[in-house]
Amino acid sequence: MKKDFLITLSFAILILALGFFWYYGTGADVHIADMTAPPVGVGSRGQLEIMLQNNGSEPVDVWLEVENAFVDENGESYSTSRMIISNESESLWSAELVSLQKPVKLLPGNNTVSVMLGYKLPGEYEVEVKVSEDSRPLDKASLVVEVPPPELLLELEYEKERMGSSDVYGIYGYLINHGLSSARDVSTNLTVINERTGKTAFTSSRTYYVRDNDKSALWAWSDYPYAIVEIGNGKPSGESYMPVQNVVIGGSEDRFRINVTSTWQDQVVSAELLLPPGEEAGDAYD
Amino acid sequence: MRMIKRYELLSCGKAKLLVLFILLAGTCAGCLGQDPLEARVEKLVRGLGDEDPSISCASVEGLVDIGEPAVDSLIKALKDDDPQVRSLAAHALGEIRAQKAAPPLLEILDDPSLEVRMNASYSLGLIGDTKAVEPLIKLLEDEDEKVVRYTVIALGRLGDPRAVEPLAEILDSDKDDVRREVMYSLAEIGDPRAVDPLLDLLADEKLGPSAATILGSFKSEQVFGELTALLDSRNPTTRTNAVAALRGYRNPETVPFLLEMLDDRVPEVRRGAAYCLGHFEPEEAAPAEQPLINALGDKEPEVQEAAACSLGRIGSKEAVPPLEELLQDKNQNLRVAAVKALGDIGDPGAVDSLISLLEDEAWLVRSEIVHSLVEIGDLRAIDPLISLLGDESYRVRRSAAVGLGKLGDERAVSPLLMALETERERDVRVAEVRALGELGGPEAVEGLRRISTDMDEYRNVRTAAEEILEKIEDDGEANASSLSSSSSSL
Repeated sequence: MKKDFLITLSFAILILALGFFWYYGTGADVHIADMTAPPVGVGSRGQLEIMLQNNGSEPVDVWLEVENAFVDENGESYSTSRMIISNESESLWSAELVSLQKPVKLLPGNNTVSVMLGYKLPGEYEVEVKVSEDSRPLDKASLVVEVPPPELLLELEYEKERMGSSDVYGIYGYLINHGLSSARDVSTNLTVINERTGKTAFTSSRTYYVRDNDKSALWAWSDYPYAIVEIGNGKPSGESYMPVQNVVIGGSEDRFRINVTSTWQDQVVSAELLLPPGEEAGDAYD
Repeated sequence: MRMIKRYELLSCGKAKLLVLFILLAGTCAGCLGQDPLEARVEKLVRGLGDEDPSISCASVEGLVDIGEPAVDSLIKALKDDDPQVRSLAAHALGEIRAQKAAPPLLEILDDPSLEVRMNASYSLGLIGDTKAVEPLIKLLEDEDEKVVRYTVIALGRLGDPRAVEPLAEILDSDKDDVRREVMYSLAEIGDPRAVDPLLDLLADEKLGPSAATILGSFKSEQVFGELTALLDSRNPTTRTNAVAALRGYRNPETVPFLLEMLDDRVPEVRRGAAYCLGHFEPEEAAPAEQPLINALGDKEPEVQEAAACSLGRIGSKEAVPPLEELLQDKNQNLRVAAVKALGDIGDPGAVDSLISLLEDEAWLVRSEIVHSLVEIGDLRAIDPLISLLGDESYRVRRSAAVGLGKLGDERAVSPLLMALETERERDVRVAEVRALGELGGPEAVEGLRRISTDMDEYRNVRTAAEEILEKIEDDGEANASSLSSSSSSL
């Protein structure tokens, strides 16, 4: 019995050793030499460059898996093995990116491949790259990718025009983004308060999209202002001001505080104007 | 002895465990040894049946990306129980253009799911195997309109003349989308037997214009003869569409026929003929010049408009005075047509009348005047165009900026820079920046540098300035290197 047991044990050890050798011992001599990824904007396509060194003398086919390559708006992370990326379709994917549906052929020496990254939330993400040949792991490495938030600010300005006995103030505004990330669905509220009565005279709300390092005009129609304040010194002009929707009409004794506030995730910015401008105001201030 | 030992080994309980272990190890090794590409294909094929359309569609893309190695699994998937898998597999096989998929695709043309039949027929068209022609002709009788439509497209791609008559029969159906597709497929096949059914369609108010375009592409003497004969048809729709079809021929022999049609009692026919006459070379259209000028006085504005357009195209100098008269017409479209024609003719004599119309209340007219003044290229236009940088319509301001750039007079640099100080509309600012790039010079370059570094500027505007500055720098370097090489050769 003891002898049988020894034979059985030897067999088992031999098979395990063979399996271990097969799994770890015969892989190609491929290593991750370097990885770089410039900061990526929220919602933009990022790119991770991986330098793979093939120390063998023959080309070798390897598989790449990139973890934390994608994070959705709920913070859920996806690795590229679960994403389906095609490098030959013309729409979203660029030809310079490798397809992870197929093995990547590495020539002897250094090879640089790029894979796509994408994040819907700002933050810092540790991206891990695994290289394998068939199912044998060859090497792995990680890199922290920075995803900065958008940097928003609001600017308001006005233009005065005389219409009959009324002063008409056309208000123009911009949502400016100095950051590397675009901002979608920036909720922007306009509030007009009558300083004389302290009551809210008008409110409206709309969402905006502003790209990275760009600005979006707040007005909806070209050549028409974002909002209009008419101060009548007699009878109101009766003008409809279409297609402008944000219109406030007051008398000569009224003065309006125009406040615009934009909110994106936890970022809140605002700008104000007082019309008619008095000694304390006249220009926009943030 | 050895046999006994083996027997003993297998009879012991631990030995059974060993056998199990070996089997397990073999299975694991088999799993580990499975071709990863095959595993990926299987995963993607499974993805074809996903309820989430973004995953099922992305699976199709992934499989198409893999291409040939995915074909066998996709062919297998044509027999899947899930119609979505069968349908998407059929679609992917077509996109891969997998020749060996044609026979299995033919087998599923009678699938109970209409999506499967639709994708199978369409893919057979993409694969291009003519063995599919007869089965696809049979599928034209399918009860579902979409299946028929995709089959028509597939037959057009296959280009086999056997499909002409069955396709022509469908032209009598009441389904306009299918009939339209049949016309395009007949055109793709290009068989002369398609001519008669298409000629009949010229009387059709909905499909006649498309039939005319297709007939215009046949370019055969027989069709030409048939079309000229149809100009005498009693049906005005047929006459209108026959005129439109003749436009495709651009044959000078058409001119006398078209001139006759300028006197047709139906305005659509006169308009078509007037418009068509503008598609000839000026010398070929010479006999049409006076009749077209006469047509400027037609009682129908649409005919006048077409005549003005054609006179502009053939560059008729004789037409300038009557076109100038049309600038005062009440009809805005007619004023636009006259302005455009004067620009096409390019006679500097028309500049003053065009400038005098810059107060026109319609932005379209003002914008078109800018284009025409730029076409004529007379520098008298510079000052009026500078004034238009302050026009109330952003479209006119944009046209004026573009025009100033094209005219290339440096007097416009300062006004453009001034306009950039107050202009709010992004597209106009881009046009102004580009105009500065066209004009060049130190003042323009300085202004462009300022804009290219202003982080409160619209990104498009900043990028336009950056690109222009880069180009100016590159040109400067190229000039410097060509100068140094020429001086060294001296």
